[in-house]
Amino acid sequence: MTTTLLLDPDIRDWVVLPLFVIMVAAGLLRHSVSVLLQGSPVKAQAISARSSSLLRQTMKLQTGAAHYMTTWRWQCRKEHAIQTLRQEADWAEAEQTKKSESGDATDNADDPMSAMMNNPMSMMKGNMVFMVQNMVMMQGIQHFFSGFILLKVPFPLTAGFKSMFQRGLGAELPDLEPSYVSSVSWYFLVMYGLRSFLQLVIGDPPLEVREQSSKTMQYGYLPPGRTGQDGAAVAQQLRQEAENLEVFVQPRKSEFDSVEKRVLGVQRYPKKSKLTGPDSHDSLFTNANTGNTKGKGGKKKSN
Amino acid sequence: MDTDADLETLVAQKDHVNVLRYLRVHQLRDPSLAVHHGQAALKQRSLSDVTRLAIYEQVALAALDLQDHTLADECLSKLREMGVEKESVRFRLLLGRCLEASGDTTGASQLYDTLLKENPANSVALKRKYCILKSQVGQEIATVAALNEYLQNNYSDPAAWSEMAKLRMEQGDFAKAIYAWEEVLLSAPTDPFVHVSIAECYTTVGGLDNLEQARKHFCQALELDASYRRAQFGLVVAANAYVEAASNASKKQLVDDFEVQVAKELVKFGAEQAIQAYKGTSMLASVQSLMQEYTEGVK
Repeated sequence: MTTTLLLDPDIRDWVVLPLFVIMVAAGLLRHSVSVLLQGSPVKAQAISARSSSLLRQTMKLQTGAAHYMTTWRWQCRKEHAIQTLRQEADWAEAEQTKKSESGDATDNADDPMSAMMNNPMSMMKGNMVFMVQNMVMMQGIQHFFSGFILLKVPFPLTAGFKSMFQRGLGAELPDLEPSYVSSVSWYFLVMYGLRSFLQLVIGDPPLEVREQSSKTMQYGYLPPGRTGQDGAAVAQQLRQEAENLEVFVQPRKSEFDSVEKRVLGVQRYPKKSKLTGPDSHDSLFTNANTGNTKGKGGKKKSN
Repeated sequence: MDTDADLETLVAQKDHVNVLRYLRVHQLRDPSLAVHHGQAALKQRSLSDVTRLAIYEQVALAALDLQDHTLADECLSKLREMGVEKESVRFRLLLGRCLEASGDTTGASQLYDTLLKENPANSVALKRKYCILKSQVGQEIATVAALNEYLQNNYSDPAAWSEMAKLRMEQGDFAKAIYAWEEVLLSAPTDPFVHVSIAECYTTVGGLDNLEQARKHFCQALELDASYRRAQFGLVVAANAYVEAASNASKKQLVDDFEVQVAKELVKFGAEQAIQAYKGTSMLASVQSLMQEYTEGVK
């Protein structure tokens, strides 16, 4: 049954538009608050910085770069990489035990556990602002804007959405189409829709701020909010990569082996004859163009 | 980048801040331009603090390039005035650069050592230590050791590997140079210059196997960029050297006839490519005679 309801224009003036404006303002406020609550950069873990850079380099062996060196050299590098990864894993573990034995208390962000101990709010700060605001807004909407139909969405919805979007509209009105929704659903719709809009409005920070974060990484610090990696965890990663490399087999030979053929062109590339030696002049078994044939194809006929 | 404009347009528009940003983003080393626009930009009132600090740093580094130590000192004191602490890592690195430029390399090294003790993952301090040693005469071993230390901590830095390769080539250790170039190759396999460098190292070392590798790398460079003249000439030389080495090979060495044939074809191919490249220029005659020497050798 399709019933077309006529909704009061006051709803639009006093609920739909104000709610939209409030949410834009709340989004900007949330952004400013999160910038203020940002922590300071933390010292990067020297062990994991060194080991993860080794890991990055050895992973390049598995990329297409393997086809730009001979198969044999690639295999040599693979073996060498496996060995180096295992050695580095041992080193990382040794350094980590040395560090925890010496009890270096000044180094925070050693691993996620101690980072959480030292700075219990660091992980929660960013999410908390968002969650708090969410709770407050939803409570506010339910208090102020409940009990009436807000709008009709222009696209048809299935009946499953009724319980979600028509909460608080008195008893479940079985006749009401699911397209008629309450204010809470408008809130959710706008919240997710505004994310990209806010990105556009707030815009990118100036170049200097972005450079600052990249320089922070260069100077050996992690950007605020990130925790470093434990030596043991990174050693685990290195050993895993060593095993991956061991099992890794190139499906085909390196393309580099045949590069001369490609550059000269198939026509010009000398053809390998199957026979060398005293039988090579046998016309039945050799190619006509092979240099090994004596006399055939090379002499010009002089008239 | 805030704007996508070209450098010339920005200079013409006298957009000082964006000119400086362009130089930073594209890592162009133009100190007179930087100083000129930096000084003009600093006169503007409407700069945010962050931008102003960054401009001071950029102008200080450009002044060091121009040997203008007074300007660099001015920038340093202005930075301190604006509230930058003495213990700030970025400030201390800039101070280190100024010390290096004024000749106080021991002071600079001490500064970098302190920074490294505080944070062993400081890659910029490691780089500067290497640069100090490289600029000094007679410190080859220490230079290599410093670069090795940097590479151990930053294994995946292709710029550092190419620096190592060039350093080894200068010292004449071509085998290690090839290893370093191959690490660069892993990061940038489609760069013809890397292939040419590897091939030249192989050709310098000589020997049948190495010359075969050299041939292949020159060919790869030509496959990537057919107009690369260095690769064309290099191919002729390497393939010719292979043919000569094969003919001079001792009885013990296995010489593959097929490979010798390939090498001969490569000499002819390379010669043709080179002559083609010089067609219409005044050097054609000399190139032709040079190539003739090589191609006659392989007939």
